[in-house]
Amino acid sequence: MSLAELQRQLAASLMQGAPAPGGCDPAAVTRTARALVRKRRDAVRRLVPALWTALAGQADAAFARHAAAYRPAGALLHIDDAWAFAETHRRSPFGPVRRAARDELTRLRLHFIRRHRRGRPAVRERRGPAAGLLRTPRLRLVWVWR
Amino acid sequence: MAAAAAVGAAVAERSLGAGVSYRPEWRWEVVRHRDRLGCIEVIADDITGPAALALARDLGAAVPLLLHGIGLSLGSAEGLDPERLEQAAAVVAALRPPWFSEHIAFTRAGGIEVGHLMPLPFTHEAVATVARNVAILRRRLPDVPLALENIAYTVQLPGAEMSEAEFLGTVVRAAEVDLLLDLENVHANARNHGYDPLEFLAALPLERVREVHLAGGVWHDGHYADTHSRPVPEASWQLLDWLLPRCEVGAVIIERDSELPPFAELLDEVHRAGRALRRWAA
Repeated sequence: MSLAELQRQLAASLMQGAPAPGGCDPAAVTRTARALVRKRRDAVRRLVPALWTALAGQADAAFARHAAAYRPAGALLHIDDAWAFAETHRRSPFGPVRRAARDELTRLRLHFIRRHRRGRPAVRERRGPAAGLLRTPRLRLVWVWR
Repeated sequence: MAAAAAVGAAVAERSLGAGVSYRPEWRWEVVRHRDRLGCIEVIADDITGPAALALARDLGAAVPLLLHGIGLSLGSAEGLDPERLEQAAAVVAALRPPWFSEHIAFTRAGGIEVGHLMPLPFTHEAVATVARNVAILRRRLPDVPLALENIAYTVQLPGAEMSEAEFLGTVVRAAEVDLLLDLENVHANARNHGYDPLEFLAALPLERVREVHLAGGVWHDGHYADTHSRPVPEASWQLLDWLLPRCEVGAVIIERDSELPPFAELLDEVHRAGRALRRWAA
């Protein structure tokens, strides 16, 4: 197997649940895939702490569903991951979760821009000033001046 | 403060001393304790715009700055991502670090971002791939020395044509780069794959070691995970004590990515690393 094919198969195993490449220990691949999800979870938890708190005991399970369904992309991978995770909760039927998700998205938008290019999201640092409305604990205007 | 400053300051002509990997939570602590830091290492991939660049410049004005890449994927058989290459080149040109480091690993393939450093098979094809990608990187960074880091890995890839230590040595010689030796990764791999870390180190081209990383991990499901979430274990400190008499190290960086402790605890580890560097630089 060529190096390129081995790398494609390993990446698909780790991120899409495809079978482990021939010659690789499937248990080790599974262990690595789980570690990658834990790494993503810890990074997202740090980036959207209010949403994580609002989800309370459901946070880990919610992130596991998100991680299985979404592949982050771009140089700012964890920002993209956190953004996509917050997006999945911005229409939540539970008020505290919905408000926390929208606040976290507002905070992310103060510092970053996320656009889709060639069908994939791309996050980059925002240039220039930005403002937004936060809903919790009370309605208020926040801004970043650059 | 004077004694602490002596430890953090440069300990040899080539050496910056000991420092930490930068985390945004430590922004003010880095400036406040700059006299106790020989250097600070910033992730180049995080500098994606003028605000991050300005912050890095401010940090570099306080403490000598090293730049460390994590997403160039120098081991990718598919080649380098032009956008990431340009971003790395722009950041290096703007900040002019004494050297630029990346990893002997791949992070993407087939359009999939893995989000972590994945191992390469210990083969001649992988050596040639890294050397080819480094040559492309060097054309964009002609004036900056390059160093490549060994990684921790769980999955052993098939088709090995040499040992891991031989592979690392062959890569740095073929790519004509220095070695960033992560001793915690050596410690983790030795635990998980059952080899003697000192025999491993002895088989490396130690004359090429430019920088050392230290960190701490945790046991998870019977395996040692390189999580960068704990203090540096004694086993890794012992590897540093073995290494320093055998090579001239330009910097030792204490890494911590999660479960961040009070900065004073990091400074204790920086102090210990700086003391070890000074002992062997004398």
